[in-house]
Amino acid sequence: MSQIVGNPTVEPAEPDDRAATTSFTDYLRALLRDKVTAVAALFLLILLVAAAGAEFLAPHDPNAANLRARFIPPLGTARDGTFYLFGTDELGRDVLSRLMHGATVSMSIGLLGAICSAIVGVSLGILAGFYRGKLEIVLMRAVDGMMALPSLLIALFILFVIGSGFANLIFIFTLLHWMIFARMARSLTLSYKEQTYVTAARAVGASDLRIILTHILPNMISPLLVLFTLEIAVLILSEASLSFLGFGVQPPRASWGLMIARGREYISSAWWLVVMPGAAIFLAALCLNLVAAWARAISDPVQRWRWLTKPSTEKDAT
Amino acid sequence: MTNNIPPPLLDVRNLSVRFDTPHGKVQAVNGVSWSIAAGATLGIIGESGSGKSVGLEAIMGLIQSPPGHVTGEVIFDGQNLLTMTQENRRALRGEKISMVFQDAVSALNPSLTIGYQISEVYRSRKRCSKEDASRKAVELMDRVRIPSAKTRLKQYPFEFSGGMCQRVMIATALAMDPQILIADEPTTALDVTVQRQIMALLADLQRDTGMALVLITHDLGVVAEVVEQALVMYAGKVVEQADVNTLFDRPAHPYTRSLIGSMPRIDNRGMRLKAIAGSPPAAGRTLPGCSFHPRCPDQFEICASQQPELSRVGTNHIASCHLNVVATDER
Amino acid sequence: MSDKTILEVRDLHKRYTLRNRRLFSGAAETLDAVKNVSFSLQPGETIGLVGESGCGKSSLARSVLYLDTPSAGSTIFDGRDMSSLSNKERRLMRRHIQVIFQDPYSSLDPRFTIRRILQEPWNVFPDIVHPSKRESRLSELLNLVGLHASDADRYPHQFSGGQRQRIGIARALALEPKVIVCDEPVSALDVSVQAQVVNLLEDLQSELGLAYLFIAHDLSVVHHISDSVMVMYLGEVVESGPVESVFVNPKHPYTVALLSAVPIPDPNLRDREIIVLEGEVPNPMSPPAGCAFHPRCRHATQLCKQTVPPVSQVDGTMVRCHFASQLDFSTHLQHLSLAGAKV
Repeated sequence: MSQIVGNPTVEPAEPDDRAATTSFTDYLRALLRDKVTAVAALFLLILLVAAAGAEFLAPHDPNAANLRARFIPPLGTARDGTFYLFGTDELGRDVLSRLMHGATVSMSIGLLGAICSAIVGVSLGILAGFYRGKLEIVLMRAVDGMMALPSLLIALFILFVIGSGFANLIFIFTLLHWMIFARMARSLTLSYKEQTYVTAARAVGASDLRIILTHILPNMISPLLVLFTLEIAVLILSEASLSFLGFGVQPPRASWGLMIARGREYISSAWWLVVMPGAAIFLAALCLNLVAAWARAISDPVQRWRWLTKPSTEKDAT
Repeated sequence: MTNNIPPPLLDVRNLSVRFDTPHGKVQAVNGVSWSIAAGATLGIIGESGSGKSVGLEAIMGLIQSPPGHVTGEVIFDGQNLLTMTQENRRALRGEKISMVFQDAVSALNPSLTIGYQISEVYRSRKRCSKEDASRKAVELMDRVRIPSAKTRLKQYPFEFSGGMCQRVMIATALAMDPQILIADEPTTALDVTVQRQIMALLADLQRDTGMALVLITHDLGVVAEVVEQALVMYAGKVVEQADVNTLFDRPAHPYTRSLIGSMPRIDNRGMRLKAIAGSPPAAGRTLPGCSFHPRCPDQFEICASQQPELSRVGTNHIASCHLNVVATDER
Repeated sequence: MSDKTILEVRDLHKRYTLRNRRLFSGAAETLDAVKNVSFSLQPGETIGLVGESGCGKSSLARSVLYLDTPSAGSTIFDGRDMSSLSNKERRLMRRHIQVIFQDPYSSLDPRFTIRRILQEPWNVFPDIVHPSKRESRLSELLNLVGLHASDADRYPHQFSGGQRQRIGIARALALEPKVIVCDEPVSALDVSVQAQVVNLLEDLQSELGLAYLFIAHDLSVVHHISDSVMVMYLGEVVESGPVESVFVNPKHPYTVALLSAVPIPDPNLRDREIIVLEGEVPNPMSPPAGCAFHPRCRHATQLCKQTVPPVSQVDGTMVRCHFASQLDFSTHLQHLSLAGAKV
């Protein structure tokens, strides 16, 4: 093919250092600018480390009962000299170690539950938004219907029937939380589908699957991630509630909700048995919400300039 | 460029607008001067990055003071608009000086009726009853030739077409019988037959009310047919100004010449279009020499280093190009 | 139909059925966006398509590209009837009819590099360019449209509108098509940049033998680039023929009004007699009876209100008007034939 324009007549593109997508270091720098969110993120990191490494990092065996060291208050020492940062419970078990193992349970259920719900919900949502028609109608009515149900009662009922346990909890959470992902994925798909570059891809002969995977899904990741973070918090709270009621994780496995349930009877004498796990739940949910709020703000190009070092300029301002 | 004995109605002197952004200073408008007499029609020609819309916003006091900085003078009725208080400027806006924008559909509030929006200015300034305001709204809609005005009072913007919405905008602008109407690309988004309707309407309204019209556009055809005096803006500066016949017959600035030469014409199929290489500069980018020189077919050594000044090249004709200076030297 | 015809469209009809807004009202509402459009395109030829909002030119483009399935009529590409092909075969045909979009800003995926944008067509049709040759072909394409090979690694937001449109053109060329549908390719560009892109399209056409269906609302551009032109109103072609005939000697009152309305960048022609077409385009969902243009036509008669005008051939142009050869518009169009002598 000969060249019509021998030497390009148009000047090359601006040597703009900005990439279309901000890099990880940019986000990190942006995070550090917002002190509150930075602290929240740090706490989550600690929680993650504690959850992942509970086996190795916990000072004591969470199930080791020591009847001679019962009800030691936080920062207290037992008669044999062992220091307990958060005290011990009614069986003399170290609260800190139990909290850490509880973190493992909470974080893994929260994360896994959110991942499964997201996979199911996003897939269905994309299909509904992309193909529309009867599929969309059926799916969205299902979403509406299920969202109208009282989820806690349903969860209790199903767990009563099939029994509690880690896997069953994940199943319940997926069943009751896919809808919110489906709704968001559908509405995002509807708007992305109308973009001219999607029409361009169709005109070039790209299959629906290719369009969904290369054009629609990648653009959705940002808003979905925000929802995902929030859902983890929701699931952590749900798991705590279910365990508190006795339908979630079973003893001797430690769970924050379970710890609160057990510690309830001693609330007047050994307040730390309720307050420590309660604070852990509260702080985990709070920090996840804070990080999610920050992530939402930063993914909005209009607000992003407040945090990033290289904000976008108005190139075409007249 | 005042060419009449009575003082101009609106006199813009050395208007400059600078924005302080995290990326540095952006000079959107750089020392622009023009004036318009009562009842006259002025056209401002410019593309993106020329500063035409920012200049207008500066005149109307719509630039937010940090990060924008506006300097210069805008004299209306003996007063400098730029040094007025917000209160006084707001009183002037809509009453003596009115504006019409490009995208009429989005300039209207979708949840308020047309009647409400047209009479809004009237109601807030004149403090009259609802019936009086409605009557005035119908009167205005008749003036801009919206059929069945009475029934359309209660309709919402989504029930109006693009051309109709633009007429509504014009009606709103005319509510207080302004002395100057400034229209920023009023017909660009419209179909060509609707554009013709609006152009005819504006011409008739001007004749009836004697108001001055400042028309900002990139469409040379509209300029040729509507205005008496025209100025061309490029990269925040005025590069040429003349009466419209002179501008098209004897353009003195290479940008004007190239612009005219690059347009396809409906009445002349012509040869290959003489395109201008490159693109208009991004807003606020200042080069050491003439802003147009990278794209100029006639540029020579001095153009890259020295900024040309606006100089007289004929009666009622100024342009800023080094070539003109050279030419006058040779005479 | 000559054997060289690359694209032939016969009696194309596109009807949209809108969902019932009232649950129990019965019949669904229909919108005939395109009615009985026929044309044939030869290699190296440009057919211009003009019309205002609601005329159906975008629907026509989408139907020709099979982005929407036509309701009736046939689209014959290179001798093959598109409607008789299976979905898979039709997708394979896509490589021959490509499109350039109006909006340079939304037609390129902002997350893709230029390389990825230009390679996407080759990922869909891997046989066209061998993987080992793709990089050099990429550079060739970029140079062809006046860009630099180094631009391949950049993102769309780093380019100006005109440059992005060039990228869109490069993408359209990637599959070596025979026909390109240009959907308002220069409308969103600055005036000083439009001419560059128009020239580029013309150069590519003469070099590669491309055929264009050039859709635009800017009549001056259509006049410049087209060999023949179709004027659409409310879904129908009201006049079509060689561009010099239609633009210098139009026969349909709408065409005349359209041409009269175009502002001319010459102050000397300011005081010519201009037709100001009153009223607005009617709602396509309830078109007028008889001739669709009659409510706005100053020559309309009772016949026009009742009977749909037949298609007639006058002086080499096709016109849909009862009085096609009888109306005289010369006073309004003197400026069009005047300037022809100026060349």
